[in-house]
Amino acid sequence: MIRGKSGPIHLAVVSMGALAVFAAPLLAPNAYVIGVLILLGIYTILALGMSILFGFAGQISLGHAAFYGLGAYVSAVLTTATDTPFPFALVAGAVAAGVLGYFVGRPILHLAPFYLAMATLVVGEVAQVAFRELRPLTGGAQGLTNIPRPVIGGIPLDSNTAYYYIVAALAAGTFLFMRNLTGTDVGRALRSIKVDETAAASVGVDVVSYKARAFALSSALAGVAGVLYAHFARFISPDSFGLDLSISLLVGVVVGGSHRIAGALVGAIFLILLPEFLRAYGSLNEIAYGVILLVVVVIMPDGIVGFVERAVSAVARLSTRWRATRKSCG
Amino acid sequence: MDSAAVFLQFALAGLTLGSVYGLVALGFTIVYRATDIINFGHGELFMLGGMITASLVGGGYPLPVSIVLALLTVALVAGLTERVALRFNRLASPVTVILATLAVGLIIRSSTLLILGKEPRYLEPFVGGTLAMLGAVISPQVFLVLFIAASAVVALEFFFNRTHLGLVMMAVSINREAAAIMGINVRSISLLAFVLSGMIGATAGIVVTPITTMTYSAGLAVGIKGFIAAAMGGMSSAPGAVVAGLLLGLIESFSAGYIASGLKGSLALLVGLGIILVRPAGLFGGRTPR
Repeated sequence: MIRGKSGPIHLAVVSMGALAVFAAPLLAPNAYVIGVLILLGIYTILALGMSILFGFAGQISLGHAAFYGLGAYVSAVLTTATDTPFPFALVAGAVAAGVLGYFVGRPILHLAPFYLAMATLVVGEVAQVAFRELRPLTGGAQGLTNIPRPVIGGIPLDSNTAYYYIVAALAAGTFLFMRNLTGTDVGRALRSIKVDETAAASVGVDVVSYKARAFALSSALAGVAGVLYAHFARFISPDSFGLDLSISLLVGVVVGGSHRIAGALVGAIFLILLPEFLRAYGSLNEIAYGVILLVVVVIMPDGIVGFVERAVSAVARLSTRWRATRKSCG
Repeated sequence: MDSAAVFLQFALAGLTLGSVYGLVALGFTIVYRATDIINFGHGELFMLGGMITASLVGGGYPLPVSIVLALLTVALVAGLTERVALRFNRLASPVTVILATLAVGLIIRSSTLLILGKEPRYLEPFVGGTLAMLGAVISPQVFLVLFIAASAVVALEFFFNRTHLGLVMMAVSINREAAAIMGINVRSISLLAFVLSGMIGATAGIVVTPITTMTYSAGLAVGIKGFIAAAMGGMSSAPGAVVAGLLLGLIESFSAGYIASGLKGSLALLVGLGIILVRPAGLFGGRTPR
């Protein structure tokens, strides 16, 4: 199931992770904490999507809120205006975001990094204007209310705990999918593009096609997260899908560590916990985002996970050296 | 008002907006010329110029003093941006530069929100009275904005082609390593470019505040349009940047006036992006960006 890794330690980590995900809502003291856990699952999916694009293919996007929003609006409109069952709405949201991502990504991924960043900013800005202006569908600036909680197989998932398991299952599935993907030829092709586009192209990697597919996958995952958010919050408006979301998503992935799938998980936890800690300080929250992003980019470009990895290997080096010295002296 | 007057009103509004985009685009151009990078926090310097001037005037300072203080503050902030965001990664990848300058922009924006609040700030027009033209009513401030944009282009063309310092900056933009070998202090040129670009952006923010008002969040949208204009102009051409800025402003004004006001700048942004996709070297030729 998981390629490239095995052994008792790895098995133990995976089973403990699975157990923690399963037991978390049972140990949560109240519904608010379960709500936070649901958001954590949603952000994990978002961050995993960003990590395939930014961490693996090395392409920046400052407009991912557009795809998150599209997923949310597609599913909200389908389930409120028609009687579409939740699983279909989920797929529709993901497909809509993925298809838009592909067709937006295909032309703009030709651009050099600075231009790509600006083009994706434009995508985000235009999408937010579209959410606001397509009033008959999106409800304009007031947004859409009374988005139903999903009903699956006739069972309504009204409680946060039930909804948590849906989100957790999708987040875990995404995580495993991404781990498998990194070991495949697609994952290797994407990493080769990040390291050197020209070299990748010279050995036969269709650079733009792979980049566009990574963008589409990343957008589709943002769409899934958007659907889950819409049916959790039960209310969406254009304000939920602005640039600040796109930037904090990038901050999360960079802070977590963009070169590892685990970094996305750390990033999602960071994104959920930071506002909880900074709540008391009001607008200092945003300043903190800025400062943290700056510090991470300047001082630890591989994020928390990369920092820990380097620390671990430094300690390992020290201990081998120490053992070697002891052997030669003794 | 008859339709000719309406047209004139939209055209002048578009040219005013366009001059602002052009001035902001000039800032991108100057920094790109000297350092080969884009400052993603540049729009915030535009905002900061207007916000500081309006707050100081509101606090009782005379207008000229407020303008000078605002320009000096922005010069300082722009210089700090260069030192902080670029200091540790001189050979950094574009993605690192994007993130670092974006972070500085975020810090500027949220600090402004914290210190000056979220209410829009106003300024009295620097030139009083109104002008009537073909039935349209126009504030003379509009012509002040157009005049400043035009003089900035002329001054910069003169600076880059006729002065020693300008030629040094050109040399750095053409080949950093060679310039450094010839004894040019590349680091101070990069600092100078940031400061100059910030002050031009701040000037745009100051002169447009009496027309549009200013809020802490205004920098981002203007920054995006300024970058698009600079890119449409070929990224290193000052006249190209301003012409493209005017074009964006006119598209924005006419699309908001004749199609739907909610469109804001979306159509202009999409047209600009389309042009960049079709002609990455810009409307007027020039160097292909990396």
